[in-house]
Amino acid sequence: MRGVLDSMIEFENLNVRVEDKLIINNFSLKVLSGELHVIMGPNGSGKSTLANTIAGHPKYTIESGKIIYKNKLINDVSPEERAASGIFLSLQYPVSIPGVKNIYFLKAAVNSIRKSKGQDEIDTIDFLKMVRGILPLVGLDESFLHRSVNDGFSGGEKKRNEILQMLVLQPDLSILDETDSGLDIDALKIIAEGIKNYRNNNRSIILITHYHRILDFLNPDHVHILINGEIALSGDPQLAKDLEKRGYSWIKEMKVK
Amino acid sequence: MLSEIQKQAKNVFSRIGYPPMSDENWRYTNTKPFSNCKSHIKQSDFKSTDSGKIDSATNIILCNGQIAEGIDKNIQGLTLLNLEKRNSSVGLAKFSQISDYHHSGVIAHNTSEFTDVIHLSIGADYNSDVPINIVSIAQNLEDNHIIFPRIYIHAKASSNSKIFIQHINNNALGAANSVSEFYCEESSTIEVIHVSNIKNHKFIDSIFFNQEDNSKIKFLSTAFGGELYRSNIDINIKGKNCDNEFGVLILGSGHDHIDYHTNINHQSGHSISNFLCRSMLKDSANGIFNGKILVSQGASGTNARLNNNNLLLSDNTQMQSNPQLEINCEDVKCSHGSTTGNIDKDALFYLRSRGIDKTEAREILIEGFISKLLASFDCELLSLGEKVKKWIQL
Repeated sequence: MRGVLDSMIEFENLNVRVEDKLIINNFSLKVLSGELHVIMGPNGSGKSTLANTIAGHPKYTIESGKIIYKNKLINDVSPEERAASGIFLSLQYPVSIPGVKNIYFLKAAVNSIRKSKGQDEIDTIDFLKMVRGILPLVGLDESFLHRSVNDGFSGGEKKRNEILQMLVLQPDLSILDETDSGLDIDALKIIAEGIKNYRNNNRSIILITHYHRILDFLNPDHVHILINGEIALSGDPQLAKDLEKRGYSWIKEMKVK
Repeated sequence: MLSEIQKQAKNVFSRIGYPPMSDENWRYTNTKPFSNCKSHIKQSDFKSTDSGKIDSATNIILCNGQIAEGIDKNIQGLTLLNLEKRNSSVGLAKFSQISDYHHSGVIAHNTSEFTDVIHLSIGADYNSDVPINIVSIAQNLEDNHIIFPRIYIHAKASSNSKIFIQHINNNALGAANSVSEFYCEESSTIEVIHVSNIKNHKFIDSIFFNQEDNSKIKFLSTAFGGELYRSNIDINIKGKNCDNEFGVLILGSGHDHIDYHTNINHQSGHSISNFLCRSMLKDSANGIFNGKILVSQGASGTNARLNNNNLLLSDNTQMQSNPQLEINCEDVKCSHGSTTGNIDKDALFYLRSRGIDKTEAREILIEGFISKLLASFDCELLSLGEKVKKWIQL
């Protein structure tokens, strides 16, 4: 499974603020190429803040510390440049954009990333061919391409649409923020298959989740528990199963001691 | 007789004049620039680079209120009369009865002063996809000039027509007081796309519809800014089982002042009206939408919707929105609503997180905002989509 053990992304003593509140607190982690890291933690522990900070959401301010992606400091890099360099965030709550067709959005994204790499715009027919090839992998039919982005989509459809975008854009680092939440068992399998399909030795995944269910399909490398914006405990996939039984309180207590 | 009507209108105007800002309906728009205009000019030869003509349409050109070019070929079902011909023909039909000059100084002024008229009859046998493109050009006007474009369109029973009305400014200052009347007979279908691009001209644009049983109107009015643009749209649904779709698109930039007042009166029952106004304002533009649906007594079975959504693209813009319903009978379905906001920051981030740069992401969101409105109308020949796109990018 292991390929080149290059560093994909590294966090060094990261502190992140939203408005006046410090959410991410002295967070350090290194993710290598090909690795799948899972981040779990109670509500409000800073998981989504971490995800949005990696993608460069302007609402989140890095107070101190470093995010180093592919050996470059990206603290001040715009979201679009991060995307162009291969970072992808699957949103916990994908935004609806009435009036903008899914296919138009996808094409604009593909062409923007190509443009930043100095490539020509993708041929429309080639593009449609590629997207049509991916649709069955996420269990969506072609009509989805002609609907407004996430507008009137069910929860499961929105999550599948995120995975569709990931498979079209082929990023190097995917941050999946609760992409498995609110899914029935069939949809969960589809999402897991999509992620497996995407995964290879040159790509890394940071998966944020509350449930070990999806981990049974994915075989992650590391599991980290985030509490109050810092990693309280790291371990192997067994840790996720322990959490299912014992909850988070024992980790909190352990930390106090 | 028309001359009698003009004389009466003159009396009305000298008695009541233009409405003052103390009039609730005019509280945001100052009519002084109109009452201050004294002289008006007659001119019919136009030299405009942008004549608004469309090759594949039937063109009629009005220049400073005078017909400059009529229909150059004989088209089955269409009759165009100018003022001279209209005076010698028998009967006025509904001309000047659809707009009411007795109680409005604005209408009275136009009615008393217009020097030519487009009087277009669309025959019962007319059923064509070829649009009738009426272009009204304001040309070389000085600050104290005022012109009075006047249009009357009579859609005969069962006719089916498509009409464009464009107001174009060719180097004109001064003012225009324009009145357009539409009379839609039983079972007629009419699609009207109205576009004004008046720049530093001051404009009051009054449009009236009067419709009979089973008729259908699709009407889109688009204002590409203007120093002072006031639109009065009055729709009188006299008949039953009418099916209507109305759209207004307001695009304001710089110091534009765009003021839309719309009245829809459901007089008889079982008619549908669906009204959507969307506006986008940038720089220091000022927008007003005052829309009303009146359901009269006896108009049971009415189904009416009125919505206004406004997107403010800068901190210095102002939008006044006032959607109203007045319902005077039972068993109706009516709704109204209004929203005003800025570009959704999370949506902007979403697009950027997929690699789309900030400027393009904004443009995509703005286009998305108006696409629902434009998609309902066939405005391809007017290149409205491209014009709006250009406006967004400016």
